[in-house]
Amino acid sequence: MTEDHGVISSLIVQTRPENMKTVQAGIIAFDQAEIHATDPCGKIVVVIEARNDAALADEMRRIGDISGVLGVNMVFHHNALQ
Amino acid sequence: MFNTKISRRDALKAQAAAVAIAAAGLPASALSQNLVTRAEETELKWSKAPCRFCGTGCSVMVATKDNHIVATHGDVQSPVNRGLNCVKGYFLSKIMYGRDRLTTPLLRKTNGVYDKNGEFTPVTWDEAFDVMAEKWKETLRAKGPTAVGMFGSGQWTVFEGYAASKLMKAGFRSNNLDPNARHCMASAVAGFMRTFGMDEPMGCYDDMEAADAFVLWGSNMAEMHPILWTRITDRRLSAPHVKVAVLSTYEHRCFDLADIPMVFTPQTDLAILNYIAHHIISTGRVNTGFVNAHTVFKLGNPDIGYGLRPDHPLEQAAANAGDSNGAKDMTFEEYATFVSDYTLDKVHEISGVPKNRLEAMAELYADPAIKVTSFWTMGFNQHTRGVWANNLVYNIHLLTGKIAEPGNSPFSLTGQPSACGTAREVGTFSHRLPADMVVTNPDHRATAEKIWKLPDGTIPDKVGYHAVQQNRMLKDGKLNAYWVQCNNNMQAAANINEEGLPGYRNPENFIAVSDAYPTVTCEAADLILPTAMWVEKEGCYGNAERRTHMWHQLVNAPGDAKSDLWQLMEFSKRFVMEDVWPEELLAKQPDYRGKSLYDVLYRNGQVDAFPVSDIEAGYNNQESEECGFYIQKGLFEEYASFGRGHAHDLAPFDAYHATRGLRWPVVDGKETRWRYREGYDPYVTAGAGVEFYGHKDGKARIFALPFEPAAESPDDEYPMWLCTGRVLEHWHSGSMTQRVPELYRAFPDAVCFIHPDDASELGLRRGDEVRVISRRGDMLTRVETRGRNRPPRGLVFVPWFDASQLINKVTLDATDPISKQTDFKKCAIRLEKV
Repeated sequence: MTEDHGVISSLIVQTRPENMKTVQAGIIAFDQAEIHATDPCGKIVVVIEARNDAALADEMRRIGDISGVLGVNMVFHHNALQ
Repeated sequence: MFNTKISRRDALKAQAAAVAIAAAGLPASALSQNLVTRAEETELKWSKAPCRFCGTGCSVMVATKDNHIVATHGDVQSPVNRGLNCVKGYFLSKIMYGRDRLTTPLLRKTNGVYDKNGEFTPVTWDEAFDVMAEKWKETLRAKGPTAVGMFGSGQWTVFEGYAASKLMKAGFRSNNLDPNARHCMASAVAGFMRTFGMDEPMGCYDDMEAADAFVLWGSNMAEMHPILWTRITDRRLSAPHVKVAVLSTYEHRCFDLADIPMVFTPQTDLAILNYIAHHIISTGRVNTGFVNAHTVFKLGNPDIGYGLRPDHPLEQAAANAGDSNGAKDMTFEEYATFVSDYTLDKVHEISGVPKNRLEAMAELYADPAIKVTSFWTMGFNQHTRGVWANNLVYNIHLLTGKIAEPGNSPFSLTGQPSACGTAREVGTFSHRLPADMVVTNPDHRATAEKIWKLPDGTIPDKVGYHAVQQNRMLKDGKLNAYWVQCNNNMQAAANINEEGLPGYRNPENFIAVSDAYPTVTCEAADLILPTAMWVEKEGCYGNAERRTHMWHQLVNAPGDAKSDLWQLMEFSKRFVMEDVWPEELLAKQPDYRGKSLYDVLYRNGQVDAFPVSDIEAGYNNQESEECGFYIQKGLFEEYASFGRGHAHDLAPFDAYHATRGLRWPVVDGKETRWRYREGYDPYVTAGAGVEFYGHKDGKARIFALPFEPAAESPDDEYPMWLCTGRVLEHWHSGSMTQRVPELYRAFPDAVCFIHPDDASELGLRRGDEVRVISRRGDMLTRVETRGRNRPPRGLVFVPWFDASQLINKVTLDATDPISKQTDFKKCAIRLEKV
């Protein structure tokens, strides 16, 4: 259904400041997500590299389900790495 | 790139991070925005377009190549979403590429001829419209204009809604035109009209960065308006004094941010609102100067019924079912006595909300130092006392003077991208005309007839059938020729087994449905018309903060799919005036004899005033190229003449293609962010300070309205409340989002959210199949005891996006008697293990 053409995407994750550490740990628990910047007010800039859109959506959902995450919003999307 | 050692992957990642850092408002590399454009511009053409989904009105950048959308990203220039997208907006472009797009008209036929019980068969547009027009003509001849009708949409473009309004109200002379926005915004409209005499919020999204407190009244913004929720979250986290109060009948994702979380018993929001008013008065915090100068008090009629069929026992028993909107004058003292009934103890008792939380929330309103913004959506509006709920929240903002200034804002959010722009401002409701005018007012009809170049008496003076009434009248055989555009009402409207489906399948009726995909509504129709969607046509939407915004046609529609606007115009060509107007009307305007509806409505010297050469270079425009004039511009400019000079001013057409939208009234090129307040709103009389000019006396109304019970509450036989709604990943009936693989996968099937103790008492475990049963019907779903929604005991939540699980077989078609909007949030059900 979806070709494995490779996608790169960035998103902003929001959490309460007191949950920053645990949420960050949850985000990087798997290989697909990297943290590129943080704001002590509770913002985390995440870059995801996934093999296709389906895997990307799964990763977004995984991050959204991490306890303490208040919101996940998408910013950048690039298809076709090759 | 300068450094050739950086791989393309690393460069893209750095670019992705830089853009996100900028969007997050963190100290950014100045390169970030340039990177996006530089890297992409070389191969792609980028254009702006509003998102196709909710009423937030985010802007997305859309890249096209070879008549195909190849990329999108959040529009960093949009003041609404500032580069962000929710997950639906992120995958937005995929809605156009579902494998089952409709590309040819389909007519039910047997042996080559139309047959209501036949099979859907591909036909040409000519055959489709010939059959359809014949049905309209037969109906008009046999029964007159009240037997034809149309059900439209808050997703129609402004052009489409306006063209449809002219076709129905002037052309066919039927006010049986209503939008699906009746199901989502009608109570908000009636609330505004009652309190302020003028529709739509006084504030704007800028309130979110100015408020010290937010109160959510029946709005799950975290899932339904995620981009706005992000702005509230930002405000809450960056300014620690800010408080967030969340009220709902079950816990949802917004509760994660709530400082004051409150789960209340369904319907008791009315009592809570009156308690707050009582708290403000009894603690001496009424802003007396403001109240005396800018408000008057009204005692609204109680006991107004539930909008059911007139023979229903609840209607028979209601004292004021015939005068639901009635009210009489009262004094402040009488009002204070009225609300003094709603004590903390009593309201705690009936609502189930702890007293300290009720008090803490009441203080957010009462404390003059706190700027408070209230938000609501379907929790208020889909409510048999929805207009009252709207009136009551305005009461507490008016008593304290916390209104119409930055951060102090009662804010009605919208669920559809142009519920405001098309349904409300254009006036596609069965009682409305453009710019807040109504069909029952002779001056308003005269204004519309003058602008539309019609003889006196063209527009009928009687309110047409509203959404719920349309289904009832189809069933009763009084509405016989019916066109549905841009909505999926067979999946949306309540009590579909008893009203909607028998109405569509009534042998006396002919039902045409225009849609991009084969929906439940299409399946119930006799003729399906394939529709061009979103950026396959030029469009204009109006969002929840009065922002009008436009987009160009960016790609061509597949196959024979055509826009709703094209369909309306083509259909109008099949009627000459003698088919639709009586002799006495034609006698007043003899030059219209022999002309087509198309000539009279759209070739009137105004709608056809602009040449196709006015279309911005580089963009196609299928309808205009075909009709030979810039139809969207002509429709818009004629429409805008209704509101200019009347506090609904729109900018010139071209301004909207050049900006990320403008908030009306736009006067002297300047948008208005806060209405009714001097210094912000040019319509306020100099020196008045504040002026609620929607009412002739310049004053807002504070209404005394009681708590009254829901139309149906749990009992021994049906012991639980049912609340329906949406989920983040799907929009409305899912006809678009269910066709996006990533969104489908994220939330494939509807479930029944239930308290774990209720589940175990019924012998149910997570994932078990369960039957949801009401007095009207039942549906099968699966049990969910975990996840994003956590109902209290005695209430279940079922989303309605899933066409394979029609929860609207179960819901009750009770409406607010004033707004005629259905209450989808409250009915009684029982669950049975399967």
